[in-house]
Amino acid sequence: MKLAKPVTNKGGAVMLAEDTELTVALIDKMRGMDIQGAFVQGLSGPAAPKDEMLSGLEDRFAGVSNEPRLAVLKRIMRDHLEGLYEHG
Amino acid sequence: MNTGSSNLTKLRARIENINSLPTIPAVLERLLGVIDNPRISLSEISDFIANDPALTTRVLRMVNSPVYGFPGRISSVSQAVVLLGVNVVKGLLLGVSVFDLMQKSMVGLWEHSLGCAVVARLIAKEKGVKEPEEVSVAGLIHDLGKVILYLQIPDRYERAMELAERNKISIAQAEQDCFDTTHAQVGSWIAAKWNFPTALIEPISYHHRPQLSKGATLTTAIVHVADLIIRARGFGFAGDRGLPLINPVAWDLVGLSEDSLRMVISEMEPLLLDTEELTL
Ligand SMILES: [Fe+2]
Ligand SMILES: [Fe+2]
Repeated sequence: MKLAKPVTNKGGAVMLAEDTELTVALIDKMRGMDIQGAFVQGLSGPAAPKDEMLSGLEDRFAGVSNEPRLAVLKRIMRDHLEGLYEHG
Repeated sequence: MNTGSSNLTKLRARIENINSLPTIPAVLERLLGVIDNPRISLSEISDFIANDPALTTRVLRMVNSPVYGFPGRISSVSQAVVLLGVNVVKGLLLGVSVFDLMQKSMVGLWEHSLGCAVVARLIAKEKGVKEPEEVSVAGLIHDLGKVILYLQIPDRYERAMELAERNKISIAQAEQDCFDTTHAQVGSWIAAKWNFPTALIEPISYHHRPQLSKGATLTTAIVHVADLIIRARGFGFAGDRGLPLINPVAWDLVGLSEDSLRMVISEMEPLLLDTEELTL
């Protein structure tokens, strides 16, 4: 488990660099530091399963399907949402 | 008809008198004295914020968030105020102060508002707009009228939300049925009452009918489009499930090519993740 972003203290100083490997010892140490939290790699993926995400998209566009501009938006948004599931 | 319009006049008077509402949070009450003063100076507004630690924290978190996207870190209120200017700061103050109310009145409205602010800024940047922060703050408070209506008559607003859900109609239609007016109209009363600049009044008033905008056409059109995009993404909740009506003229005025639209949407995604941390 690695840091997705540098960890800074309240003054904005970097305490731990991005990509630092998190060990139990390090996490214990972080508790004693003046920090608000940390971003961990790989945990920030989409919150919902893919088919739920895509059926939500269908529902949202259900009432407006024959407006050409929104059809473009829908196609691009569908590609985008599918792309969220491609890595990691 | 007659009773209808006199009820509406009463509602408007009540809304414009929001300062005297007993349920209004203390911070907002103090804030209103600052917001509706058209001659307030940069240093007065900085002092006002700096004297309130909670407000200071919120303002600094917000200006360092993806809603603004300044490079580097802004660490003082005075720096933020100078960078943003009085009008943007007024909108921002209002945005951060109604944060709790948004959470309370409609779960997801804060996320919808932040998301809309992020997308509006990205579009403004893409279009080379000179003050993208102004467009962003317009996105942040475009649905302010929902909070105001909720604050005035909570039971009736909850009824409107149920109505939208049950009958699968837009929240604006449900508001019209329950209040005889909409959040856009109510927002316009309050924004005018508080002496907001046109660049904020018009997107609040016309984000669902951007063709009516006269003095801030592009900003209003951008907020209209950003509202659609963030709803299409399914980020946050604005009171109804379906997309609102699109105004083709506004969409074409913003004129994003397919490539630009793809770029805005892919740039938006990591910023939305960052805003999830922005609980203020
Ligand atoms: Fe709206
Ligand atoms: Fe909205």
